[in-house]
Amino acid sequence: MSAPEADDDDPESLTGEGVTVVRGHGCFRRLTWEIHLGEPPRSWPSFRDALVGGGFVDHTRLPSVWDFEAPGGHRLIVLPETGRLQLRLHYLSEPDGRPELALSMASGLARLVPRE
Amino acid sequence: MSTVPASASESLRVYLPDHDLMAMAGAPAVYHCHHFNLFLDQTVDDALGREGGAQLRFNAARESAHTFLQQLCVRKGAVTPVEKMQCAMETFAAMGHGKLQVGAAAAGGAAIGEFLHYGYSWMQKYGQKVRRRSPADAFAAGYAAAAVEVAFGVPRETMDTAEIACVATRAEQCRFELKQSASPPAQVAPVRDTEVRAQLRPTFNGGDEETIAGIAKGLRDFTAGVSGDERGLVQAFGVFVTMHLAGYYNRISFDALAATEKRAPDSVGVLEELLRESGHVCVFNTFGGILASPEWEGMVGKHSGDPRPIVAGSLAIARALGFGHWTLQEFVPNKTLVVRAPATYESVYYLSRHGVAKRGPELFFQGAALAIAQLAHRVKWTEPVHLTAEVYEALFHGGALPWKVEQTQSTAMGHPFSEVVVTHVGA
Repeated sequence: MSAPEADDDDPESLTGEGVTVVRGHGCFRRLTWEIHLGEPPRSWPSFRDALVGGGFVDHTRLPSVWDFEAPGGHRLIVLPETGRLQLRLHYLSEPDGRPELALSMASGLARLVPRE
Repeated sequence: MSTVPASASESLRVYLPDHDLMAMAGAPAVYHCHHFNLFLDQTVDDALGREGGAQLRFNAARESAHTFLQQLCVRKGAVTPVEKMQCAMETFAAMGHGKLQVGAAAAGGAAIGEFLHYGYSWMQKYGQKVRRRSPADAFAAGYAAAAVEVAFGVPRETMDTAEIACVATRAEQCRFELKQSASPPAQVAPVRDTEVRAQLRPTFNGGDEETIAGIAKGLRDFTAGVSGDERGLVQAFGVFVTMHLAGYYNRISFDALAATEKRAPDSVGVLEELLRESGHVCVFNTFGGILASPEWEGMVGKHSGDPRPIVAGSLAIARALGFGHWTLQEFVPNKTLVVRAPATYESVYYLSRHGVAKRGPELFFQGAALAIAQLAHRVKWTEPVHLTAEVYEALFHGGALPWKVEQTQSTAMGHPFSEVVVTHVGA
């Protein structure tokens, strides 16, 4: 069986306000996005504090893989050692608006990055 | 993906020591994703026709679920019909199969499904571009029948279930009717954890053992707390994951083969190829999804571009998913990959159910090993990875595969281990 996936025609990436979101691997229905902040955090612990202060709930189970629940039930995975950020949108988010939602959340994250 | 108290599934999950075969409440179990599940179901339907395929899938689900639920209720202390039914439904959701509500007694009744793994994931994967005309949830139907049998003490494999509405056919919800079967099938001895353990031989290790064992343990620890979310689904690594009954996969595969050998022997080769391809589908989507995940990057590190760590990592994933103690016996990049196991979830079932095989029956094992070679050599892991349907098509259908696979040994044939040899066609 080789029927096409449901969201073949989606944009691969979106850029705005100095941040870029790129569709993540295996992303069906536009749920997974890799986030590239224009300027990554200089201090990851400070960024972690800023996330918690910004309403993100820390569910981390592996020390090297930070796992935050964002307002709205979305999930943010942070790898402080490599700087990778992955956003997993909640399945109840409106399907057609997911790319824009991901970009909007990425912009919000950029604003949370501490700037000494 | 969410976590719930261990009572849902964690405390019932057991890995057989040194064999990396998994059992859930005494029933052989493995993890598989929706891509694999849908592909295998479709393969069975292609082989037997829509009606024959659905009947076999229902029978296999009912049989394997009965074996499972009987033990589950004992271990969870469920005594009354209400307790047993609740136990069955909670576990169904915890294993990632969706929400099933059964309102039935010994004489029959009805059931409603929401977010059922098969129907829901079919709609997610294909629904926007393909119209389906037959229901997709034979596994849920069989599970519901078995739940009634166990809860109300009805003889095994005597309840029938018809899925009369399915979200995969664009119904609003999945609905089922249950009734006593007019012609129950002849029963065969169940294949439980007990039967599996009885035939296990001494285990062994291979190359990169420390690395493989370490990653497998990390993955097992990570998946131990995973359970269905509020929908009863497990969404992780870009796929919908199920903890599933190995007896279901094995029976639909081997019975479809046996039926095809009787009815259309010329088609057996095609079916065997499709069953091997189910291994490609699994490795590409689930293994690929895990390898590309931030969790992998955090636990194991960034990919180097060397194929060997991908091979070793894939064998670790296979172990963590309960496929068996897959070991690396030989690996020469661009030439050969030899994977050996003291047993696989296919071989132990085959031997228990069918006796000694005349040829290597572990078609999933064969296909998975080939796909590991393909993933290790043909995917640029140092660049952003997008394992889309198009990439799958290009890798596995875009011309002749650069690899061939041969099963050289099988415990199902009486050999001391199972072994597959993957060779580069140009080597």
